[in-house]
Amino acid sequence: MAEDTSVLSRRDVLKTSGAAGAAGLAGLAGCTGGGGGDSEYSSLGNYPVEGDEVVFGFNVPQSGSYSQEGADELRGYNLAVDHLNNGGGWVDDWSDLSGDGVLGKTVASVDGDTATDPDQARQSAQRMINRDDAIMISGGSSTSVAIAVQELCQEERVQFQCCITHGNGTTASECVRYSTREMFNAYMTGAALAPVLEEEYGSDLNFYQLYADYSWGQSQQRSMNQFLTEGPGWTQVESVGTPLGTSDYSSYLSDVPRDEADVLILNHYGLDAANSLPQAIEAGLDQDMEIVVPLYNRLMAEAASDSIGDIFGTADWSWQLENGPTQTFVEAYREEHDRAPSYAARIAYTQTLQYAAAAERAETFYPPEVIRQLEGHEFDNAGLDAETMRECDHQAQRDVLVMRGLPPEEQTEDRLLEVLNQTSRDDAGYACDAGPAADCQLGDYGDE
Amino acid sequence: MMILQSQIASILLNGLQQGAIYALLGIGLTIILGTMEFLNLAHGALYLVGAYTGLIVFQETALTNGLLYNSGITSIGFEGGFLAAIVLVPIVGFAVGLLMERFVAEPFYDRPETDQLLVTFGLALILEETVKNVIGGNTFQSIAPSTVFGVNVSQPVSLPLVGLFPSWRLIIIGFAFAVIGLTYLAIERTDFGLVVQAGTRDSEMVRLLGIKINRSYSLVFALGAALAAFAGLIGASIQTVSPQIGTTQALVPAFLTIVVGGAGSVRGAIAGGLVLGVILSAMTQTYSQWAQIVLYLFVALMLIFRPEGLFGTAEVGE
Amino acid sequence: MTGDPADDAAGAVPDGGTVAGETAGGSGGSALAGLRERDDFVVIGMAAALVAFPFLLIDVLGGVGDAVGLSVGGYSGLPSLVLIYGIVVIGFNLLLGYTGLLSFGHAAFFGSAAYAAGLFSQVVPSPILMVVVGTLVATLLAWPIGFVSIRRSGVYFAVLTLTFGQALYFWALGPGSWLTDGDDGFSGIEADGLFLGALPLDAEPIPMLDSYTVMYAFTAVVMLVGVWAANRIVNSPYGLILEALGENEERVEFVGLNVFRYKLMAFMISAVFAGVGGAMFVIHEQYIHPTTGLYWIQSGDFVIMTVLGGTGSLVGPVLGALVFEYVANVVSGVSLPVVGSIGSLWRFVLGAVFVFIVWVFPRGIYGAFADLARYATGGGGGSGGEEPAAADGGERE
Repeated sequence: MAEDTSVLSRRDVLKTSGAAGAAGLAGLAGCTGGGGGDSEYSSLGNYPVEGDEVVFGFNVPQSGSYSQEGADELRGYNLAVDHLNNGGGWVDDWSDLSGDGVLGKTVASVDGDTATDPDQARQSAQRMINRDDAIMISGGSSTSVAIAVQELCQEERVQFQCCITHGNGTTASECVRYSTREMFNAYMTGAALAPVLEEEYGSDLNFYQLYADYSWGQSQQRSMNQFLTEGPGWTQVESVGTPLGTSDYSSYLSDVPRDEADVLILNHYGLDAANSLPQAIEAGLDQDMEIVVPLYNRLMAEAASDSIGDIFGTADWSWQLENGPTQTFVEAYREEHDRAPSYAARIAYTQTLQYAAAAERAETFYPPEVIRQLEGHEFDNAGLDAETMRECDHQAQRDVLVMRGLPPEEQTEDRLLEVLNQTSRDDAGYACDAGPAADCQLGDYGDE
Repeated sequence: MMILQSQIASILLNGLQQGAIYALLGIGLTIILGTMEFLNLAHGALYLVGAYTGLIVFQETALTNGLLYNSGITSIGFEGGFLAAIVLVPIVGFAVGLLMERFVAEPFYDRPETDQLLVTFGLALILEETVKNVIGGNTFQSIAPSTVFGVNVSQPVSLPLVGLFPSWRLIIIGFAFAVIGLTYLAIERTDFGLVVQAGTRDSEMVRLLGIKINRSYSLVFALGAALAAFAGLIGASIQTVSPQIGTTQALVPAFLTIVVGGAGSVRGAIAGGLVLGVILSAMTQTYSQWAQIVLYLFVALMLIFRPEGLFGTAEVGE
Repeated sequence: MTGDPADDAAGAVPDGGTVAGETAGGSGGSALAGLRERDDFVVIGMAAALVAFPFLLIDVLGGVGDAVGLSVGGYSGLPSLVLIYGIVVIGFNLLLGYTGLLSFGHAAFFGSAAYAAGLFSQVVPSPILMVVVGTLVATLLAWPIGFVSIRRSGVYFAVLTLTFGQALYFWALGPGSWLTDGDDGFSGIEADGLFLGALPLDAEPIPMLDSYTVMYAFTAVVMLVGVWAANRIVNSPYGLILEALGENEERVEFVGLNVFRYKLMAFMISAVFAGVGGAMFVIHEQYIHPTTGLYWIQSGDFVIMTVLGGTGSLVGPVLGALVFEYVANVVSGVSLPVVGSIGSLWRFVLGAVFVFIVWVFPRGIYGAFADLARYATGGGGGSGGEEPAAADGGERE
């Protein structure tokens, strides 16, 4: 679509000359020089960017269970590319962006299919990096995909902008220099949800947890346990893992002690929650206790819409927020697609713009400089009020939305949840030496 | 003691419900494999067809993407309710089975099983992707009705020993076993059934006896497809519906069921389904991390030590 | 549909080798010498194809893609990936195509080798030792599995092998995640360069041609060794017995041969190839996840690549691997002028390719090329076409 795959590009020559150590060839670089102050850095990853186009790679699930979410991510990405090139949306409001491409180059994009499978996602990212010379990759809808791809990007010196990944690992033990995450994580969900649950349900309660038995579910249930025990002083009855791939939870649900537990926490995401929540209600557990689903997404809210009434959870963002950036984005999205965006679309949109803005601030696509611009960046123009992309772990410190599911009779096509509370980042966040951040050791920039 | 008893009762009930779905899938696959020696990897796709047909018949569902949505159709289905689905889903499955037998399976009866495998796997992919691209990749809500014959089924009922149990699940166990029973009778007691039985034992002999086996082939295939579709409907009434369910939830269990029961044996498929269902539910309630592992190892042990299956009637390649 | 130049080239070259081999065999004195030379020609033909492959897949196809405005070119990394799967399915074909045993559990050997090699690399990151260790583990695993499985046949054998693979998959995902990192995937694998690290795997030693990495050369050499070994096996008396087993097991038994032992051996050999492939995969990807390594779909993919390429020939399955990986990794990213992005349709394309190939070319892609070649050369005197490369060697003996 828009990549430079000529048999011999300058990048090839540079890489070859680097490997072969042939100093004679290196002179070529100067001759063919790509303008825009780019030539002051040596080549690294897919830098320098050749020609008058810069390629972004959008790696989203297009087949498999999360293709619906991937489709909305892609809508966000394409909207971002359109705005970057032609103006519109936030591009008009962000002072870093011009609406005339990035650093004078037109933004082009390639997309690929992660199939929510880490290896497939890496293959797809590899193709974007090697063949299409993508300077930035973004996308994904699971933590295992994010971790797998960001590790590859660190090696290849190509920036990865996380899309949907809520597990702690992405910005904890598995964190890398070449990746930033704006989405919140399981730890922040726990911190944001606990006070709301105390206020709604009271203190001194017993809770029972089911969790998806892989790293996201494990960290989610740990966080819930920590914050519910420390804050409202609740007591955990038991926490039971459900293996990956479970679609019928009735056996687990029939083990929930109805007389003992006051609250049931279903640490399941997306499709898993779309099964476990209705099945819990079918079993009548909602009559004996309150049910909480810590992380909402649209896929799950739609696929369990009859069951989400009065169920609490958190979300990355909602189109219902009233701040200016949100309304601008929703309007631009609606114009194109005739419905409200899900939060997947917003992260995709903002991640593309964040990268572009950082490159503009750095005045180069040279990855280490772009990363330095992303690090410590403070902004309040991405729909969630004040946010900081923290330098120490590349985890954005930002507000977290606590959502409540609407009963079926109050739902409309787009409005399945309502925003109950926007928990401040001061309450949801954590220090660089605490929580998941304590385990994070970012890699090198590549220019040391 | 009470706790143990109630635990066992709950395991059996959950196992029965899961086992019923396995058995429906297994009977369909086993009569096709037994009679025609045709290896059908598209059996899961028939489950998918059943689930989506059920979804469409049961209620009107809003679409949010896919080919239909893009061409201006924002919802599909009609408010037929579950009883209409119970009637229509097997009929649609039957029709799809007839078509599949005629246009896909028949040209491959004399081809190596690897060719059958490839063509049916390709077909399964095509069906799955067609559903996804036409109706959209969305995950849809399960389609359990709130009332059946005016009785509220959305509330759990209190059973002795088990305690509260979703009443809808009790009803589908009933439906499933009614269908399983009818199929069993049809195969044991009718002329058509005799042909199927004979066919599963020695299809060549049946042909030599002058029985028009081609027509029976079509019927057997269609019956198998109808059962798989019915399993899909049952599955769709307790779990979400998405294009992947055929491959992820139906295909492998169907094969496990028939080898545990003995390929070609209808009784074996019923027993195999139930045994696997109960093992799975027992493991899930005790050592859930090991549930799938134990399930597969159980099947392996069965195949190693009792390859003729639970009922020992089927022919086994030694 | 995907009959692109790369297919043509990769298919035509080994085929040309076969034809040349026959003429050479004719001029040579004894039958044995002729066979020897023909053997070499399969390997030499393969070598020639391997030399041209990355250039065709990446540079030529990329150029074509630029010319027509579609991103149909390969990318650095794809050639190695195709060869890695090629190695696996060459071995798989010895079991399926020759012995007639359909396994649905070979992911177990692929995956266990990948994990073993990955784990071993944390101690000694030597790529060659990683392959050795991975293959060893796969072979050790294959023995008991083969021992109990090959007593069954048909769907029973297929399901039995599947159960072991699935048990291993769920173990790696759940209880075994202390070792495998479960769903996070096993990462942080970094193999040293070849020759004690002197030659980094991602280096591009040939100026101007960055499609040729050291990793590719490494894979190509392993592939050649694999082809050579497989060719030796099928052309030996032992290969003849395997083939006879696939045709009529009872007859082999009547001759007084121990069927069980031969089948077990074939199973182990195919597991060795799967193990080599798995270890190479982890060196190449530096990452392994249970879904890629151990899930039954992966086993199914091996079957599909093999049948797609053509079970009747030694190198046919490699073409299957090429088409499969090309559709999955390149076609999936193509944007068409009217239809738009293929992304969500590529699995549909894959399904359609299977149905088309198996319907129109029952002998797979290789068979189709062989027929085409025979047609082009005017019949080939009756001996060339019937069963390519592998089988004709056997029949001659």
